Amino acid sequence: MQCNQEKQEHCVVLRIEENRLDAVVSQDLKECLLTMIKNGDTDIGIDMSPVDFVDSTGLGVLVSVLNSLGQNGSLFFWGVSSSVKSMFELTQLYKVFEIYETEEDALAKFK
Amino acid sequence: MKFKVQYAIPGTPLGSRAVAMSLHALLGNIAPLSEHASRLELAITEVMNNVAIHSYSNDQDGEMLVQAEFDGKAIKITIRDRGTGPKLEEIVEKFNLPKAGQKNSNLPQSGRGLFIISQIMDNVEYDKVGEENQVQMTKEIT
Repeated sequence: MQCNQEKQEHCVVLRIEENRLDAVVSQDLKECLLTMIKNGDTDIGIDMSPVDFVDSTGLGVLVSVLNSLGQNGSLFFWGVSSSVKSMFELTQLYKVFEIYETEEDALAKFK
Repeated sequence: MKFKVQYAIPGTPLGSRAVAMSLHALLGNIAPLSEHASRLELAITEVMNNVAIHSYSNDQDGEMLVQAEFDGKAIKITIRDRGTGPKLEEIVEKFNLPKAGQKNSNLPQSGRGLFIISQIMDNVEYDKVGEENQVQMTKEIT
C-alpha cells in the first residue's frame, strides 16, 4: 500500500490511496503509522476520501495507533464516506475518533 | 429473484477481498438486497477474515468455501474451512464498546469482527461438520 505523507506546519497528513482498509492492507497501514510516530510525528491527520470500505482489521489498526499515541499526540480524519461513517457508528468508535468534514476544518484545530 | 452462488477460494485476506467485492457487486444489483449490500459485504468479510487470520493463520494453502443463497425472503451465507476453527473464547469474547471521550486509553484492538457480524445478521451459527468448520448466518430481507 502507498503511504503518501505530507508534512504540514503542525502535523503530518497521510493520504490513503486505497479504496479498502481491510486485512489485505491493514498491516502495511499499521507499520506506516507506527513509523511516523517513531519518527516523532505524533499529530497525524488522515485523508480518508478514497476509502469506501473499512473492516474490523482496518479499525483495529486505527485503534492501535490511537492507543500508541496516548496523551502525546492526536489522530484525526476527514473525507469520511457515508459507508465508513456507518462502520464508525456501528462500532461506536465515532465516540473516540476525531472526525472532521474537510481538511480545512481538521487543520484549523491547530490555529 | 432467487439465486445461489458458490466460491472456492484460498483462505487468505486477498481471497476474502475478492469474494466480498464480487458479492457486493451481485447484491447491489438485486433490488431487495441492494440496500443491504454494504453491510452484508462487511459481515461476510468479517467471517472470512476470521478464517484467514485465525483458522488458517494466514496459511496460503488453506481453502475456504463460501455459499450465498437468496430465496426471495432471506439470504443465507455459509462459510466452510478445514483450519483450526474459531476459538471458543473468540466467539464469546465480550466487545467493550468505547465510551464518549475514551481517548488515549486501552481500547480493545480486536474482537470487533464478531460484534459486527452479530449486529448485521439475524442469526449466526458455528458448527463442526466432520473435518470442516462451518459458519452459517442468515438475514431476512424485507
